[in-house]
Amino acid sequence: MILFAVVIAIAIVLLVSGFEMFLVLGVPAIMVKQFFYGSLPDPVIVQKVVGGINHSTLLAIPFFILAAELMGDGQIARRLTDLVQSLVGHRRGGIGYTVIGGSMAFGSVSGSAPATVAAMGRMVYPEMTSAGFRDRFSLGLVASSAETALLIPPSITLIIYGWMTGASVARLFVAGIAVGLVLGVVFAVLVAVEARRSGVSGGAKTSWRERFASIRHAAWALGMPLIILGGIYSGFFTTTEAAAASVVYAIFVEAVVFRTLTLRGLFGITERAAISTAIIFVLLALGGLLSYFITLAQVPNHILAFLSAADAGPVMFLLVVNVAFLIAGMFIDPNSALLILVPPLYPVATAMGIDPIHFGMIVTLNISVGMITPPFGLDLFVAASTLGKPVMTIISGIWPFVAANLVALAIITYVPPISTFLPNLAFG
Amino acid sequence: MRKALSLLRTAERLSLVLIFLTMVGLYFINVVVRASGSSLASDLAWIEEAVRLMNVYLVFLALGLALERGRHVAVDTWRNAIAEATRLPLRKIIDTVGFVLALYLVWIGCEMTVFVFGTGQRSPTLGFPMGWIYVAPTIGFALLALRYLLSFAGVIDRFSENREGGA
Repeated sequence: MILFAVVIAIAIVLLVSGFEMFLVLGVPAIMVKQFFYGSLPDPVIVQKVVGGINHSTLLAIPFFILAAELMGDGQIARRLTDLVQSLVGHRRGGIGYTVIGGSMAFGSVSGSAPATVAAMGRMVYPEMTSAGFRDRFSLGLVASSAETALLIPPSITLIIYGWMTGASVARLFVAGIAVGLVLGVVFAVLVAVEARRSGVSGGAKTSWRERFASIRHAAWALGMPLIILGGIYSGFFTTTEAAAASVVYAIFVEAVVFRTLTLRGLFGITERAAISTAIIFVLLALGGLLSYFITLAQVPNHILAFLSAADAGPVMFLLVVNVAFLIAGMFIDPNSALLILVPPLYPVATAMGIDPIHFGMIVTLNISVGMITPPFGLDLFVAASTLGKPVMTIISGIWPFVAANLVALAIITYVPPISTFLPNLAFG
Repeated sequence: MRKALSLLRTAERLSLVLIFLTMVGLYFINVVVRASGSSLASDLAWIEEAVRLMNVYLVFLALGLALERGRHVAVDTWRNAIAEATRLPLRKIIDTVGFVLALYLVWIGCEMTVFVFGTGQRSPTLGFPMGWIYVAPTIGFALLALRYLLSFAGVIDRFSENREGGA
């Protein structure tokens, strides 16, 4: 027990001292192996490290990352946002709704929250302030709307959760749409209230002729969500196949149709995507090693025994889960939070009869709230560096969104059908 | 020394791009053939396995470059403050721990590779010796160990860039 506490203490010291996250996961895992499971041969470590990433489902991640890099650099993201603006931009505070809708549209092709903050921040933040929104509200909206990217498919976080738990990625994706929409609606209410309070006017009314023109303008870009979502839900593609097809489509559209992608550009983007892939996969590899030892040490059984001794039911357990993930999400990146907390908590959740898809939504929403929660939420820093604003200014505008998020989190946690209704409808 | 390092970087970058685009091409061919209902589909079962193997190589070959560019995820908020408060050479300590861990993984990676090659185990569809899959982490962690060493020696500065974390 003392040795175990020492290992956890070492992990915490490594984390706060700024060691690379894969060292924070790997060093304690190897220590546990040497202290508690010394009879296992050392090469089992390499076997688990490679086994942790050599999986078909995970192949979707590098493909989606490459597709997102291609679209972020090219025209697809911009055209999707223009389309959203032409549909809702004329309403009072319309540019605020455009930020939310644009983030969802960009999330529907990228799956990465920091990438969404960066792209949307550059595109629409200046328009928000010139429309009359207060600066700090605009900053808060840009940073928090990007969270929807973790929920709206294709979400890398949901793919990893599905791989870790065996839950169907297609079901998780459908559930993510519903939960992402709930979050979007909650933010839209804030925009409506703020627009009225600050006397923000709407943009110029767009005629239906102009709207059709912007749909035509975005037609090639709309093909992307069609391939990804339509392909997966119709059963035509597996998630990984849809991901590979989306890369080929993005290359075709950006290079041949829009003519913005050169061979040199493709080289640079592919290299960047390879490095982004490695950053995530090295965490999966060493996180897989850690979770192997968590399972061997029967940590989930100990948690379950503790909870039943404390007479805690699912309601109490979910509250504990929310607090644990919120705190983790505030300090570490989404993937590491999943890798550390899902292995011990997921078996407890299923033992308590909580639906795996519902649990996945709770976990993902928690992590996304953590990304905007001061003082260390990752998206706050991405927004600060992209928009050239002090982190403190962004933090001052983020509180209403954190509060709105917690309301959404409570609704999602304690109303399971929001997460399970659509997957059950789509897949039976 | 600088020239050798620059050659290594070029080799790493070229391998990554080639492997990645080949993965996309192969997997896409697989999808098209399956969707067309062609009888070729069963002949292409090896593609899935080949792409997974390539992905393992992609990941491990990128580890060193990612470290050199300061791209690996870390909570670096308090790093400088802790280093100042404790007067510890924290960056050197991180480099040392990283180097030792990477070197240890290279060592057991070699052991595992030799062992699996020795068993004569072959992959199910491609039929290649399974030992090749363990060559990837062995090379990858060697590239990582090298970058930790170079950072420790001050040849590369991996801490200067701003990080944006993971996905």
